[in-house]
Amino acid sequence: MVKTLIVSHGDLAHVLLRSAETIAGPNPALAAVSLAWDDEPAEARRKVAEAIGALGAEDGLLILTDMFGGTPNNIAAGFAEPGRVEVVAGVNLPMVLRLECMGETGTRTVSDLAAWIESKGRGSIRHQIGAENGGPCGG
Amino acid sequence: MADPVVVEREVEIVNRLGLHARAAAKLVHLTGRFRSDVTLEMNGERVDAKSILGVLLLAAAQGSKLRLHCEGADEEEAMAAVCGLIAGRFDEGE
Repeated sequence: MVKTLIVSHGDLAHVLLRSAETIAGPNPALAAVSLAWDDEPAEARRKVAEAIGALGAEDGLLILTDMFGGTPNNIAAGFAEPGRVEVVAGVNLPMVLRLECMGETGTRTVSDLAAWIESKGRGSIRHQIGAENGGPCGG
Repeated sequence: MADPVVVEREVEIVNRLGLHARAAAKLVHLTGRFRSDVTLEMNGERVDAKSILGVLLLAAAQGSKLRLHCEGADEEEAMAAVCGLIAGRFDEGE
């Protein structure tokens, strides 16, 4: 099964994963690594490598990072191998939630999964026009 | 081969928080156990009830009326299970 690692500065990666787990329950195919703001690049790389090792990524690895151009993404990009390790920048909660809900990534290759989750992430951003829909909690 | 049959029913969201994220997750876990296709329709928008982001897209508040469609080998069972979950307020108690 393709595994997913969320990488961010600060606590964001862990908080995103915890939020998704609170909603949908845990999924061992996902993990998070949060880099300290003052981590040296070598230390950041070591933390990411350690997280990849702990997750196990024999069938492919999708890395979701907090922001394109930021250090977590730059570090993650160093692990990218087309078709085996793919990186998607700009992670949001719907993306993590969608992966969390996935029992199996099925027959999707990591490249397909990366393209698919990118489209899910983009599609989940909506400009709420007035009160077109009150939402589940009425507000 | 028999013609495909679609089971349809109108269901009302009765729990106080509506079809919010955790309720949607319960729904998706439930529908995922069935082989049938399950969709929900509200205000002309029809979504896959096996996709959490699809279900959340409805943003169905308490009192919303949804059209539930089930189609496939176990459609009756799927219909009964989904109706039970919604009527049972997603086990939220209110």
